Amino acid sequence: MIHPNKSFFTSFVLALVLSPLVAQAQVKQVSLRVDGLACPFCAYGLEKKVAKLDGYKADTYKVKINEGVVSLDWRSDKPLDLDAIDRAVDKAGFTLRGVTGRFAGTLEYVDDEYVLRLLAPFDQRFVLQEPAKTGAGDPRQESAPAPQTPANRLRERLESMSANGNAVEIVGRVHPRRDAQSPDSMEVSELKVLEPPAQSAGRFVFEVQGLRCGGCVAKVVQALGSVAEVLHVQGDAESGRVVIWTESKSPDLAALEQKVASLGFDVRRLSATDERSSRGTGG
Amino acid sequence: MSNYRTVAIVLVLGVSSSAVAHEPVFSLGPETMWEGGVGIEMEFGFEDERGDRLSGLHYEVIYGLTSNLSLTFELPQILDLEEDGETEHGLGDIEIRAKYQFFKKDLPGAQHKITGIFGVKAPTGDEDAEPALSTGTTDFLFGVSYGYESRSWYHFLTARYRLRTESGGRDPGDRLFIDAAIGYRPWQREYTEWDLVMLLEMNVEFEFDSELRSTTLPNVGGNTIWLGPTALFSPNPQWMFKGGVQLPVYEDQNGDQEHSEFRAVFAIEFHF
Repeated sequence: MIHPNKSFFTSFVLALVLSPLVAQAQVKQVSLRVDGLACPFCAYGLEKKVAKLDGYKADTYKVKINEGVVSLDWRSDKPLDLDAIDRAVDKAGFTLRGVTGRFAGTLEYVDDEYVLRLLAPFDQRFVLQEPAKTGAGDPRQESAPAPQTPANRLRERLESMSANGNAVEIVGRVHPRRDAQSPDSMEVSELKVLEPPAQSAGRFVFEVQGLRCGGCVAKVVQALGSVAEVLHVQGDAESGRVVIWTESKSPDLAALEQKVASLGFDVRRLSATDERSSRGTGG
Repeated sequence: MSNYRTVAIVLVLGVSSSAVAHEPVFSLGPETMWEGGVGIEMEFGFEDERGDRLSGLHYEVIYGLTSNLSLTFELPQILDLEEDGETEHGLGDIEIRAKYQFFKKDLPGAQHKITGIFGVKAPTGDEDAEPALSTGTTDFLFGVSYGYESRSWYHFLTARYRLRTESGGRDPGDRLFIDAAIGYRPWQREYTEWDLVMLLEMNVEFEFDSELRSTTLPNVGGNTIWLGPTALFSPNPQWMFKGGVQLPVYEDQNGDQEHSEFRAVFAIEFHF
């Protein structure tokens, strides 16, 4: 079981945020706060165990002994398995205090809660929460800086940024699920709507019939975002438009349309002329 | 009689070390290996008793069954045992040990842990050699060790009891060891950098009376307190070089026995 420690991630949020974005990475970077790390020689066993994690991206293990933090990159095709991380740290002879990561996904509003669904070929969701107050029960954290997202403001921020359904990037501390039915949760420290990549070869616009809410947008963004050659997706329920940025100039558009159609939506690719003319008519 | 002195000196080497990681090198500490981890150690030990000398190598393999249960196999090789003008060399008594860490408390950058120790030593060395390379007995080791390790400070306290069984009319006295050590890391370096820890180790050793055919031997047994510094240097996270020297700061030996001058250990450890 992960032992709670209120604010370990605040020290690493800046480092995570400043890291370069990696297209198509859903769990981009993970930091583990590990207690018991006293010496480099002993920490070698931790590297051995972390390296065996299913989602570990080879040769990315870094540890800051003086801060008790292990950082690593996570494979984009593997879900973040908190239980496996906890077991790995335990088998190495240490105690996992917390896991922080940088995640890309779509926002969904479900049952009065905002949920981050990772942009991935697998289904992994995190219920978004306010960051916990720092310092409780940990004398080392008393002088820690306050989290950058003010308490009790997350919901307002999520609503105001019109991010519902679109791709976002979140830095947060994740917590394991309370029971088998509920998803893992995440204390949100940083949140931003993902911008289109500057160096994409192609940009294509689709008109999707029936795109009426954030949940529908999220489904389409998820489906297209999980395609390897798609670098970025943006959807808008109001205009019924979905825009994708791709690696190549000529991606398999028919396959992409089929992917959207399989979700039950009628889809049509707009030519540049269609796009301009519909803009001109306010469509 | 001299055979008993040989036995005693062999035992000194046999139980003085086999440390893991940053444990004291003249004792046993609470360290266990991570699950599936393997450690290999080769240790060179030397002891001088005013003319009688012992030098030897220990080969040791430790394996982590779980993160809190480790097994150790230890094979001593006597390189040069000199006593009363006679010299001998060869393999000594093998020992198998288990360590079970039954308490651990992890803190940011620090650990408290308590480990139980159990070992068996078999008389595999040549008992008939002159001097003998074996105690000729099957011995059992029981111990408990507490350790605190942090980025700066280390504390260890260990109690060990070596139960020596009777063999061929000889009943060697049991031995009790109380070991304490304090350590300091002068530079708090990062994972891939070299690391140095200095320890000051004190070992209090009691050897109880020995008997030969129910007669107490007058010149065997007694108490010794050893004190000396140890250095543990790891150039990277997989290798460690460690060494220490100890002097007998107090001796209360039974009867007429040679007094120890000093003892020294140098070891290399590699784990993977």
